[in-house]
Amino acid sequence: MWEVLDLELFASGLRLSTPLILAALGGLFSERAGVVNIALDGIMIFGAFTGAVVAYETANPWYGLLAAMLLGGLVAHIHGIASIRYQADQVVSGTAINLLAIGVPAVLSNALYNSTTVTPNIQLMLPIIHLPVISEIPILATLLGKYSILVFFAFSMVPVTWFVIFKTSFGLRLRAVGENPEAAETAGINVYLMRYYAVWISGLLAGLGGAFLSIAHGSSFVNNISAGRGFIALAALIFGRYTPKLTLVGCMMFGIADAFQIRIQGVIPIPGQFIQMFPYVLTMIVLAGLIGRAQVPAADGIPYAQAK
Amino acid sequence: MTKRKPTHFCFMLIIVLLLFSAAISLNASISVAQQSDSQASSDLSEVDWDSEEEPTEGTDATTGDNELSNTSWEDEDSSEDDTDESGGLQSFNQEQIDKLDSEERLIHISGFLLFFGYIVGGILTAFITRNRKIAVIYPPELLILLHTVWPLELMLLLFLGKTVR
Amino acid sequence: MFSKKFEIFLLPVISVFAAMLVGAILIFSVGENPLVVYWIFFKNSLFSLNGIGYTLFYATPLIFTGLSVAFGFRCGLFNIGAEGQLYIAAMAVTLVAIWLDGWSAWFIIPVCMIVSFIAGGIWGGIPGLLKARFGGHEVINTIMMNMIAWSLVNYLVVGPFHREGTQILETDFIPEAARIPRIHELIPIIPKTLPLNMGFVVALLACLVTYLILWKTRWGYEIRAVGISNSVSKYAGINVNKNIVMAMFIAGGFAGLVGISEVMGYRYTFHDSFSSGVGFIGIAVALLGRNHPVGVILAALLFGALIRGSLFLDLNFDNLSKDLVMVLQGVIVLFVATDKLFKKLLSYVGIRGKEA
Repeated sequence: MWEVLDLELFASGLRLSTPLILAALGGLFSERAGVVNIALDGIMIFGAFTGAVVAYETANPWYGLLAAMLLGGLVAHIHGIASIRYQADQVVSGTAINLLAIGVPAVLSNALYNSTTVTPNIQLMLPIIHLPVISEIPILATLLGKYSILVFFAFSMVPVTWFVIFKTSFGLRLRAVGENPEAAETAGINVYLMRYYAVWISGLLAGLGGAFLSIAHGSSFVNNISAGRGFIALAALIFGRYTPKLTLVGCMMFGIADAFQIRIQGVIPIPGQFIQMFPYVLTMIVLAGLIGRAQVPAADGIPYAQAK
Repeated sequence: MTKRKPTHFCFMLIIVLLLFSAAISLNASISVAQQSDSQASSDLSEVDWDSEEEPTEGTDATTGDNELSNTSWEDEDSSEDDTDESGGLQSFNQEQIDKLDSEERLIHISGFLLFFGYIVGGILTAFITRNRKIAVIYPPELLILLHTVWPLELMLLLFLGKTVR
Repeated sequence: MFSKKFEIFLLPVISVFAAMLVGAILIFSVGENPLVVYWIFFKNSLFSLNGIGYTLFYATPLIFTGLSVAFGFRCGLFNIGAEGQLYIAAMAVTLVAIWLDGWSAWFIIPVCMIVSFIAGGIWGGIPGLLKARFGGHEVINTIMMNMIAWSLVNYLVVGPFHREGTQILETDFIPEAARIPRIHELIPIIPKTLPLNMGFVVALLACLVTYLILWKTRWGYEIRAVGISNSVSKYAGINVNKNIVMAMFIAGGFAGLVGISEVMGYRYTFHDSFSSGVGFIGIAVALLGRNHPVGVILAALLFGALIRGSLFLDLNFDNLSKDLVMVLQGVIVLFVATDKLFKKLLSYVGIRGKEA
């Protein structure tokens, strides 16, 4: 059974952590600005759906990717408007998005393709990159040699996010808004605008993460394609204490758990359904803080009423 | 227990796992690694456990199936993108293959340029509009929407582009 | 100036209308006539004895899950786990009923009812415990419990408890003694095909019990206090953690009662994936019903009618399916959450609420 733990597992673990990374980084932007974004999973579903449909209709996966990203941003924007302008409970409005994500793709795919559960396979998937030199080296080849381009993109977003959040004035303003919106407002920062930006960016990234599932990893949208990944990403974010580097560790952990779960079915005598539970149980254990607590941005989750 | 420790522990765990799996891979057979190396185009070891497809139960499978392995994880490189030297497509001759390849390449390049260009353009637009009249007049909700369609926003800048504050 | 009571009623009604408006746009965009669609909805759910009966039937599990979510909300907890809780409870009821084959109905039925409550309660109590003890966010934990529940009951119904000799994913039937009567057995004019059963009565009783607990006992007062403010309650000497766990347990228990109406009253077996999102619709029901038992009943009736109506969509329209209901309830939740939006709109029209 132990031969399952080979580099292939690691490689697919990295691959499977890609959507988690994208969604978690998105969540990072939002939470840092003080807006709880429970809707990451729903946005991923919307992104996956949009990506699959547009990629199919235009026969170009990149258009699907772009559409998924932009639509993710728009869906998040709805959540943002409800939470920021109208001070809805952020968890409730996020849940509304998740509920919509169950219904809207089914209705649309039924109207378009006569199926409430799948969309047609796309013709062309995002390119797989074979790194030229590394492909020759035995170990590294399995590990790094062959990944969808989105995987590289996702991993490279980690240092980019770190840079934006901690080294730019934009990031500084974002964090200020999340920690102490009143003080930020007095300092002249438009709290509403910063929060809208943060939520929008979280939607862009989560939409991208969802598109990965239907364009790069799979080749169509299927019902429940996200399998709760958006929530696992949130758990990874909490685990990573809302910092990019540690969140990456968390996502990789869950990604490897996911890969492990797929691999080991059939290899050991435990029934498949129990093995499938593994990532979810792991998430709960992580959240229980058996692996550490997190320092939430001080004004997280509290609607901010702008002084008029 | 300091706050740093558990996540660093996990990081170490991942590194250890990595080394462990490297050792196992080396051990299992170097030939397997070489095989997956040269056969980078059709990765057989992925096909086996990836195709955990269950029959799609029509419209009943709404909230019922959630298993991560239930979705049809198709081969990542389902012969689309790679130059398959083993000549899998017997019905085409070399010319047609080349034509398809260059078409594909065109799709990818043009698609990527659009994708990347749109993102960069959006970021630049957001940057440009920071201190302009357009940002003051319109509420933030609308501003974000405009960033989504930044080519239109740029056109609006012609009218509302005066730098304010 | 309108009284608060009026506001409490007005806003949900407006939310529903607004949601139906959005739904109409969606219907229109797939090429159908919204008026026709909505007419089909209501014709089949409200304008016939059969229709009303089925509406009540579909509303029954929604009352349970609505109560479940509402109870959680009253304690400041977001119970998204109703779906998982009801699955676990239904499976538990089925297995216990089969196990107790041979005992008299007087024994089996109460036992099974208690089992359904406790099973759901345990499934809800675990995330509650994790929250109280470790601060684990109950939203994520309850969703994870849902996933785990799905896998677990799927395994049980496909594997060890699968009924022999059939392809359908069901367990063995529960014994006669464990079945609760259908309403048509008690009221002759009701059509015999109507699966409406005593579970509906149980649901109404559950609402009564909820009301009594929350507003007529000291314990309910504590729960509501914790829901309003953890810190203030703690200052007043209330054991916040204990209340969180108890509230989640009870919330899970209410969701678990679906096992009664579903297994003991309708199918008499555990059918794989029998719930089409009932646990999630319960969220909309609770929010629309303002977390009050009476509101829950009304909201559940509305959604029951929508579900009943939506079953006729497939027949009459090419482009629509019953998932439209899911869209509607998502929009309803969104609008209920943004009630400030409607207050603002109402003030434009000249209607001012208390806090103008």
